[in-house]
Amino acid sequence: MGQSDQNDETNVSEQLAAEVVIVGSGVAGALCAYRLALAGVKVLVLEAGPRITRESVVQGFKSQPLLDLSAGYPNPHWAPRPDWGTGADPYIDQAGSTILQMEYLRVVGGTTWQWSGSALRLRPEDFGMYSRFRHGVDWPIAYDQLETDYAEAEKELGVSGDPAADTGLPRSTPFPLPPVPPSYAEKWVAERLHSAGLSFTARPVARNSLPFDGRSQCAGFGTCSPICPTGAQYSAMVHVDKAQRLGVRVLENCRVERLHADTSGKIRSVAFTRSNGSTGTAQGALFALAANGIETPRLLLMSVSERYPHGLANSSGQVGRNFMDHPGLYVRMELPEAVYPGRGPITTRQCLDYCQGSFRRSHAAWLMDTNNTLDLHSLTEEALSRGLWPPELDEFVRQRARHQFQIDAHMEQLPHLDNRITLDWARRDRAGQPRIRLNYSYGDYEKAGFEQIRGVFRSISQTLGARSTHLSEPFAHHHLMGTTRMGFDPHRSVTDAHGRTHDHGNLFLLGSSLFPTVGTANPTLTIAALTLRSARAMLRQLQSD
Amino acid sequence: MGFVNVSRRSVIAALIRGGISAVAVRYLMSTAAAETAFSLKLPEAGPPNRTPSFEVFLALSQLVTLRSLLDEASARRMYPLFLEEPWGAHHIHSTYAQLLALPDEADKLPRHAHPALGGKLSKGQVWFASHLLTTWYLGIYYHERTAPVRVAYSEALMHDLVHPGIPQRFDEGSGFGAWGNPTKMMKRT
Repeated sequence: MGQSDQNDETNVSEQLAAEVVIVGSGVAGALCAYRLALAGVKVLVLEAGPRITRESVVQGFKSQPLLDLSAGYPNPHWAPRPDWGTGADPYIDQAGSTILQMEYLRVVGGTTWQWSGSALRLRPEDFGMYSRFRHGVDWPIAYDQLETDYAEAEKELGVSGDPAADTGLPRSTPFPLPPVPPSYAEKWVAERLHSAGLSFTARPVARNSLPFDGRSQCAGFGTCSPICPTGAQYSAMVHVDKAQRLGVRVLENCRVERLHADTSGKIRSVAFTRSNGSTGTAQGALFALAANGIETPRLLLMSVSERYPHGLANSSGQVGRNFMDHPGLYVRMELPEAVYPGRGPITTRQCLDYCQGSFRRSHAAWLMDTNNTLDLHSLTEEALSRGLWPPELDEFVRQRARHQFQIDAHMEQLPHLDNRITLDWARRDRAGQPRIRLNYSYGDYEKAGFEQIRGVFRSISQTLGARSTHLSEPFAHHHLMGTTRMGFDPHRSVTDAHGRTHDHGNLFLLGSSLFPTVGTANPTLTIAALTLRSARAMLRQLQSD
Repeated sequence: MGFVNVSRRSVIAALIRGGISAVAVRYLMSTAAAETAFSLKLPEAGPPNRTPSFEVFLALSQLVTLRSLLDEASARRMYPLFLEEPWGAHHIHSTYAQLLALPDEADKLPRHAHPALGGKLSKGQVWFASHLLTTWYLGIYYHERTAPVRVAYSEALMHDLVHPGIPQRFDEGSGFGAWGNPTKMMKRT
């Protein structure tokens, strides 16, 4: 039976061992641990952050004055994270021309606590960006090679979807669950935009349209992100719990500081510090870093030594480079009819019309999805800032709340060497680790994509007869990708096609840091599919060693 | 003055005495059930050199928000925060006293005038009333002297405006699939 090790924190200089040591307990770490444990492998998972409960997070949001996505989640000094709510310590120093307000969590279960549940596959052409469009690089695998893992990942996460709506994607199996029905607002918008030639169809989501895997059917709380109050939406806790039931040991509040390699290049151990300051090491035959697209390269860069002055797995110099997000824009409209947003899931519809095509030679592809949330706070703030008083204030908010609707765009971004994570060794974060510095900017490819999005949004607003329209500035989707990319060429990539580092045969990297390019799909399902593939490779390696 | 149980009619009459516009009174009437009787705390403002009582603060809140029913627990969380402001006690007292002292000019006020905007309050009093209004509607206390403080969540008045049509965030679901139908937004006041 699995266990929590909260009471072990008085230990000093612990020496732990397992066949596989995994750093990070988000979807990649938890799913990998579960799959390995199913095969009888002894697994240890080290997680920097604490365990949390759904109830505590909900209460956290209700008692917090802050409004950012992470406000209800802990931000402990021993496992700090980006914090844009207070603005006191953004955690990541921004050095580029674009400030990216990214958020992620450091807790058991990782950022899947606060994700939107969107579970899309990349499209076949996304795997060959260089071959097809002469931009970026190709993946070392093709869609066909990942298809069965995508299908398996959909089962693991419990994806609701409509295969008829998923055009252009070969599928070996149907979605495990039927699609989540759209909200009244989404139907209203989709019907009118259909007549204008835009096709909005069911968005695949890891949210239960029926009771599934011991979790309830979605009840329509509408707070999918920052948290699903019922657990109807998948979080990595599903696999943390399953892994623990199979005997996996998950140590929370246990921050890994560095990895140690021997003279042959093999990783021998990881060094960790507990929240109480005690330290220890964990040894294993295989190691996997699943700490996200920021923390994984950071850990490799922190693991410097005389033999590895630029950090581990970094003979290519690619660790930390090619950072990508899905830059976002949104259009918020006041529609001529009442559509009542804010009821039901955060999003159930998407438009793939701009995801693929030869235009990708000149500008970025992008995906639209309906945003069914109602930001009542901003709406009320707007009314107050206009100097309105009751009863006019009330009528303004009520009217806008009925008529407001938002459509979001997720845009692909090309890998650029200069968009990168580096460490500032002269400055320390609250945990005493070198501060993270992010250099980030948009290139011409992305800027041209933004222009197309703005044009389409204006046209949509006109088609819908919007009374007022607000086009946002670019914003972050918190998808942390590309910083330890996979590839065939050890001089241009960090890992092989299975996530095994070129430099260290027993070190695997899991998660979206592996993505050579990013397409337009939210990354989580691809993270899960790649993890299943890596877990098989790890099993093969354990059996052959 | 002590607390009095009053009918809706007498509440309205009291508000008219306090200078609330005819529009505002009709608004209040439209939001209260006809048979409802409730407590309205309309204490005297008291001397300006004494700390205004909680009852004065609550009554001021009622006048500013045009709500007869305000959550007392939220008010009790707000009261010390407003008192701790450099001019907090002064603003509470003077704004409330000014509202109480307003003559019955209901018919003379422009249709959309709130007393705070009707030229009856000083600039500082208007600012303070707006500050109080913001706190009640957002449920968050903002002031430069301190970090923001959550004083109310579900009791924040903005939620009233769309509830029960829009479920209370974190606390309620609409039920699977019910979100596909239109709804009515009603207020609970």
